[in-house]
This record gives sequence, structure tokens and C-alpha cells, in this order.
Amino acid sequence: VLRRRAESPRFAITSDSLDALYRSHAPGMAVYIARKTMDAGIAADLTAETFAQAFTNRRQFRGRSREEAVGWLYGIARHQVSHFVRRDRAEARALERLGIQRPHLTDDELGRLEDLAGISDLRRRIASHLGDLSHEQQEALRLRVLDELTYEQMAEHLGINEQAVRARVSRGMRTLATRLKGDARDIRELM
Amino acid sequence: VSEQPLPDLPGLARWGDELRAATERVERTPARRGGRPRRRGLAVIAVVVALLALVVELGRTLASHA
Repeated sequence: VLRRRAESPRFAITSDSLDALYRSHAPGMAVYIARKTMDAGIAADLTAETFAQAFTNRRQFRGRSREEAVGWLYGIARHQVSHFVRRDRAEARALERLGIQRPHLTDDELGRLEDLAGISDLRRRIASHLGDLSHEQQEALRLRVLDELTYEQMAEHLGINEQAVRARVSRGMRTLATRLKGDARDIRELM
Repeated sequence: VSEQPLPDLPGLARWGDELRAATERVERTPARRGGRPRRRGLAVIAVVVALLALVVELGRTLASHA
């Protein structure tokens, strides 16, 4: 198996192959990221940065098939999501290196992306389970998930430091995740 | 991992065109910093030869003064 693998040629990330991957996988990836971040605009930005990074780091890809390239792309996307969750902002280094802007989606498109990701339904389910949490956690989650405030804005609003805000959101998310078993993975990504 | 056609999201499709244009531009542009590996190798050899010549010349000069 190893010999056969060594003999098979590498799958090169080129302008052509990346374009084909983008055409077939960008919408699915945007939906995937939207479910993780619960924000269609951020999902479009992170999808763009993922593909831009795939090109700027193309020499690091060692895979030999299109499927492996897709897996590699989703690995970059997962990294983008976790960076976004930690830092509360979308990375755009590769976009800057390539000299391209973030994608501009109309409100209709953002709505369509939200529908595809089922964000509204997820928000509704979260809202219906908020009552299971303490008052402090409820408020923190409402500000973070429903009002879409940043941790910095939340800290200012609640009059506590950012670390305490993150802890509140994290504990609330964990409790919610156990209630919403089907969406647990998506919810945990928000923490 | 799902494959979906792009027409539903024209903004994403348009951005795909921008990505393609940018990546093609990069592929057409030769690497600038440090040059190509082959050229870099030749430059290193040239520097080493020049240094050796300098050392030999220095040795000769010192020997003639001794």
C-alpha cells in the first residue's frame, strides 16, 4: 500500500485545481462554517480566507488525491473557526497576501446561507433552552449568540472583564450543549 | 463535506473569479525574494570561489613579504 502511495503522483494545488475545488466545495464549506460560528457574513469571510490560505500554503500540501485536498481544506477551515472563536475576529492574512478583498454577499445571499446552515432554527432552539441556565449565563449567551456582541463589547456592557465573560459564556454553552445533543458539536465550537 | 452548485450564492461565485485571477497572477510572477533555487546555488558557488581566490591572494602577498 505504501509503495502504491509513493508511486502515485502528488495532487498539486494550482490555480486550476483550486478553482475547481472552490466551485464544488465553497458553498458546503460556507454552510459548515456558518453552523460553527452562527454568522453567515463571518462564514463567507472565513471560507475566502481558507481558500486563499490553501493557495499561499500550497507547497505544504502532500496529498495525492482530490479527496485529500478537500480534507486539507476543511482542516484549514477548522483552524480558521477556532482562531475566530479565540480572537473574536476573522483572519485575513492570506487575502492580504494575494491582494484580494473579502467577498461581498447581499442580504438575500446571507439569508440564504443562514437558511442552508439552519442558523435561525438553531437560534430558536437555543432561545427555548435559555431558561435552563442561571440568570447570569442567560444574559451572557443572549448577548453573545442572539445579539451577536463581541466579548469586548459584552465586557463593557456587563461591567466585568473579558475573561469572566468568556467563562460565563463557556459554562452556559456547556450546559446548553447537553440539552441540545443534536447540535452539541456546533454549540461547543462557540465556546 | 458536501458539494453544492454555486448559483444560489452569486457573491461567493464572483469571489471565486477574483481568487482565480489572483492565483493566476501569482503563478505568472517569478519568485522574487532570493531568486530561484538554481540561481541561488550558482550565487553561493560564485561567492565561495571569490573568497578562496581572496585567501590565496592574501597568502601569496604574505609569503612575498616574509
